[in-house]
Amino acid sequence: MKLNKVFFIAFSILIAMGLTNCKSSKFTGQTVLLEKSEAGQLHLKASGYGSTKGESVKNAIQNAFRNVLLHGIPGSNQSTPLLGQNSEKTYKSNKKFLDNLLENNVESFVLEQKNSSYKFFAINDPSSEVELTINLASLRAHLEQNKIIRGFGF
Amino acid sequence: MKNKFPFLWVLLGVILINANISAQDDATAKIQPKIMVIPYTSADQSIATELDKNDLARLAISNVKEAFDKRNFPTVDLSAKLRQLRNDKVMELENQTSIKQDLIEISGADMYIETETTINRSSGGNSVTVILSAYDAYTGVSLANKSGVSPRFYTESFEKLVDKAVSEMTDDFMNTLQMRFDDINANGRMLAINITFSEDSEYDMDFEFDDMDMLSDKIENWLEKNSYGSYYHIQGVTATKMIVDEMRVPLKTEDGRNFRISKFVQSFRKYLRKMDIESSRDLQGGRIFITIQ
Repeated sequence: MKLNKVFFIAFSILIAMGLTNCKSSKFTGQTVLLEKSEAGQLHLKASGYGSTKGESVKNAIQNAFRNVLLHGIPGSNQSTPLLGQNSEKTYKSNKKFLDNLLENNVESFVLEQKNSSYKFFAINDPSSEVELTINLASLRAHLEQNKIIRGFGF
Repeated sequence: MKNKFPFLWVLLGVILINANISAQDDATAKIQPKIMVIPYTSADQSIATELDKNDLARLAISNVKEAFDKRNFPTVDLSAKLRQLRNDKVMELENQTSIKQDLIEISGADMYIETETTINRSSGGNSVTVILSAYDAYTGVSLANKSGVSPRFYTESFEKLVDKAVSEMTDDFMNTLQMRFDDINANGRMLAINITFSEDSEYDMDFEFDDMDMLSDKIENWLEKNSYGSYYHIQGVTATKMIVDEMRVPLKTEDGRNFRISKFVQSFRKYLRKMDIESSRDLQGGRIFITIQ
């Protein structure tokens, strides 16, 4: 009986810790072209959300990549979605791969990164701005090699 | 001992056969379009002269070809094709537009990209405008267009300005072209068909059959059934000619093989023969010429 009580309390503590640590990532279209670049690169500025600097910078980078994949960045070297015309459908069909890319691997495609100062105003306001240069050619090649998008041609 | 589960063996066989067909589908690589990059020329300008004399045009062409190379996509070499054309017919042709057309036909290119470079001089600095235009070689349909202007500098090194302008344009131009390729992949590629009659033919487009359909109606019915998604456009019909300026056909047949235009034409000629109509054909890539005898 005593053991059951201990397990119950430990279990409740674990659940409470899990709930309080839940982070909901906010994805927005707040990614703009910073300046025109040569072929194969993108110079962008993205806003990020989060209650800590690390979280908001990571969110800004993820936002930038997500916008490149799904929407394209007007005026840039990738003004159309990198995932193609049916970008939403392609994303859903390859959700596991692309979620993993956004969560764990995007930084390998960042050539340069400059974080603006962090200031947390409110949960619904961006707290970081990040200027970054993305290796677009390499990102495209990575998606082609993993058969997420087709190579150039038919 | 009787096999108690013959149905299971049959089912396994069917599954294995389907898996094999599916693997074959994936293994049959699609035939890629041939693309040639050429300089823009007006009606009275020679492509060969433009290529020989205009350094900026050659540089722009080279930069665009490099963009294709970076995407692992080879292009048809313009200079080699020009040499071939010179050997064949240059002395016979006076009209430069004919030479340009002949060049595109001889090259076997399915698509061509025109690059136009213009120097802009001003008191505030010099710049270069570059215009890239991609066309389907058979139907003339525009596939992608992009223009760009380099930044202004006080320089006479226009090569660097062309380099900068093209470098900032090519990614987006290639992406637009890829979107057209995706459309072709999904909705079929385009052909053009010209149907005419030989001089001593007893038929014309107004020839009426017993069911009161005219020959043009019968041909149109066939086009509707045999075009991909029933997508075809007739530019015009007269008694002596039918011009189909756009007709969509799939890239692959239902059994996963590459679609052959020659077989498509063969199928059309067989249809005509069923009506006791003989015909001859001439194929130039995606442009089909049928002459009814």
